[in-house]
Amino acid sequence: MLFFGCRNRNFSPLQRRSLAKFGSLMLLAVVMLTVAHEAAEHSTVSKSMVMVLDLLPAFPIMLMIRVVSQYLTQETDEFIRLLVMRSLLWGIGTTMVADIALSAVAHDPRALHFAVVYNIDVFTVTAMIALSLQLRRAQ
Amino acid sequence: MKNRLRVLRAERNWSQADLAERLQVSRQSVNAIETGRFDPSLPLAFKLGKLFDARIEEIFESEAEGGTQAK
Repeated sequence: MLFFGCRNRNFSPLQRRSLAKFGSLMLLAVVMLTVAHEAAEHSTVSKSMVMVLDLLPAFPIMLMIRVVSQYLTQETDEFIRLLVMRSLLWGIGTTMVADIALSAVAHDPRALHFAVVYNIDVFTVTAMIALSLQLRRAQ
Repeated sequence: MKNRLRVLRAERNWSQADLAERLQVSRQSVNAIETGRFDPSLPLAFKLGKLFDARIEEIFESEAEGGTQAK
């Protein structure tokens, strides 16, 4: 959905550029989380190395926040900015609700890894759906 | 907030896309303002005023005041 948005001609160059950066960083975070999980589960790397690998995905996530922040600062269309803000709130809210629901059913510590990947997916998909619906309503 | 944007635009034979291009905003923004679903900021309202050569209160009207003079 994110990569489709990067090619959407209805989006401004700023929106396409921001989506491309956001999507790449999200992919990087998911890959890093998977590598950290695999290292902890199957390899013989030291505990300190596992801790470093566990912390590394925080960097692309912080960069994702920076990309969104830069986009909101540079977006000159105040109505679109409002729609993006609302979509982000939907994404954050849905992720929190999903987390609460997941914590009620998943007591296995291994589920934590999937919860983080799942968080990124739920947030992105919900925010993109909310933005698409709002843009459709505004047609 | 009510506004006369649609009328002013029609007088000039501009489409929503034409107005959006002149204002450097999206067509969705123009539509949202026209239908009263979004109130523009003061800078955008001034931009509209300049574009239509009208004062802001000639374009926008507060629904609460019902067209009476602003307080």
